[in-house]
Amino acid sequence: MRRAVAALFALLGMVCWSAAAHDLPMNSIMNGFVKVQPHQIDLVVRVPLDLLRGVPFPVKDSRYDVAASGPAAELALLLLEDGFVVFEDGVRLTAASSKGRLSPPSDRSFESYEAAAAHADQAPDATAPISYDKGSFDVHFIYPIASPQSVFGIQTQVAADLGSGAMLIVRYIPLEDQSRALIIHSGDAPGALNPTWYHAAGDFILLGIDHILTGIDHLLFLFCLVIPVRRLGRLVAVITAFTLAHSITLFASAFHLAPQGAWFAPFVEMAIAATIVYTAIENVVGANLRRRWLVAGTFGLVHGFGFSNALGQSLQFAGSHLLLSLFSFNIGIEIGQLGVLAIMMPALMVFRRLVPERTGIIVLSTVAALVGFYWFVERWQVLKQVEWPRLNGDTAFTAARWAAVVLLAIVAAWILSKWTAHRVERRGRALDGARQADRAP
Amino acid sequence: MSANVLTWSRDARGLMAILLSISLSSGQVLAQDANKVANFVRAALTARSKEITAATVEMPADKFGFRPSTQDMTFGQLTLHVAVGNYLYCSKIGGVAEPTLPEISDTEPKEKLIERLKASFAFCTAALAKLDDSNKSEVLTLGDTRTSRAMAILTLTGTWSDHFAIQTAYLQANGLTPPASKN
Repeated sequence: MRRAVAALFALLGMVCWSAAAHDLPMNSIMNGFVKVQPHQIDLVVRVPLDLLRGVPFPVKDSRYDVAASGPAAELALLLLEDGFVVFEDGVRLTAASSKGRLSPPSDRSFESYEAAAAHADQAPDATAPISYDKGSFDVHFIYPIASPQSVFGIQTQVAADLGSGAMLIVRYIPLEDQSRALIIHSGDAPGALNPTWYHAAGDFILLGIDHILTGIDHLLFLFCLVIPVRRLGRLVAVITAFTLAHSITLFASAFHLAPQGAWFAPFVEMAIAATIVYTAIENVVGANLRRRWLVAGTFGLVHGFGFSNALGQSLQFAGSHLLLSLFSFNIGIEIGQLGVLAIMMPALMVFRRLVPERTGIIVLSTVAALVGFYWFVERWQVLKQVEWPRLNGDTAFTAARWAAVVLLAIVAAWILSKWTAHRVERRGRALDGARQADRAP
Repeated sequence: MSANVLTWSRDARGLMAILLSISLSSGQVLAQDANKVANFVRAALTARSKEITAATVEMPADKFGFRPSTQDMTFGQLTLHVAVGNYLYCSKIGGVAEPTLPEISDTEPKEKLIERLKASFAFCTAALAKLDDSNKSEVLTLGDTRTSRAMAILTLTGTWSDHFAIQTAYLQANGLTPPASKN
């Protein structure tokens, strides 16, 4: 025994040393199904053994001793009962039955719910070799429910210490509706599987408020937009233009009209930083406030893409209320935006009393431009590391489509601008005429 | 405990599992029906605390600054990291207050780091002594993470295994035989 242990340590040392400079190789993605039945919910999950390295599954000759794995499997099941949490109408459900087994990586049972559930219920095949860390532990929990019409939620706490690195990709199979896939990160708050319309609306309003209040770059852009604005009419025009514009791209993204690819999100983030720099510099050199709404509208399109990136995976919890959830998220953003403006505008008024107006605009805008420029450089570094799409038929079509959208937006803005200018001119002439009439004897 | 403690291979952990199965006598521990989870963490603590402490004692004092690459922790940092993790996790899992200890640096003398490590394991032993399975589902807050007590136990036992394997690799890299091989 002593020799065997000594040999193992020697080998362990060599392996560790040779691999010490490599990244931690960890499979932290769990796959599973949640199926609603008339009287129960079945949760079947494949947990990579990487995530259960604390459980002492017996090992013999660098392979799991499947025949002797019973006690460890029982322990793993006990632990995992608290790793997955299923809710019915907000109340945590308790598993009435739980089964689990070791599986080799070659097993393909999780391609369908039926096969996965049947596989998890079977005793493991003691003759199938499973190399250490290469396999999975498959579990099947059954939770009795009050009604299949209830609102169900799910949460995973397995390897929550890894943060967003650990996730459960689960296919939700309702009793009467289409199934859909959800990605649930470990440690996140419970996600609704089939929310009611009012749950979806409420959740997405809160999400929108949270996003704008924690989106410091969006807030800085908003701040830059309103620094020189004093008149309420202009403020309303600026905020309306920003809102309309970001709504357009937010909805377009939700319906998969935005460019796809790993490059797009970092590109948008960098562009958002650029919008801050531009607007701040415009303030410093002297902004044309009559056209400020145009700047807000144009750059609002970029910020809408940013909002959609944040919305991304949350939309999976919209259930069958996608459109409502989008509207609600947008409403949340507007509520948050108005709340911020309610603080920002009086603060700016006070600032204008303390500092000469032009000096104040230059100081605040310079600070904003510097922050924006810092973000721009930082985000450019991220963007540089992303692979850009190769030009093919699909990318050319997407590029052409967006070029057309941008062109249309510019033309629409130009027409609107001319129309507004014409109205202002007419109003001015009418006022001049009235004044002359007043002066006439 | 963060995942970026150190880089190391799954093969190393594979071999660790063999050691784990040898040293933990898991069959005996898991055969007890009542408080299976609580008994499991106590058994793991007994085994891992001996192995981790022995490995730390084995490393010469002048090698506590050793690290395989600049991206890795030094052995001293690793020792302190284990102790800090023990205090955090065992206090939360055991439902006892984490003691306020004087801050020490990872460059302190070996004896001081070993003293802190041993104290942390002693703290865990006391904190987990009365643990049972009745509240294993209770959600705990560990830093930024909210997780059940059962999952916190899974993380703690997993990281003990990881850290011991890393220590073993450090010893090997310095031409030293891990203590468990000498028995």
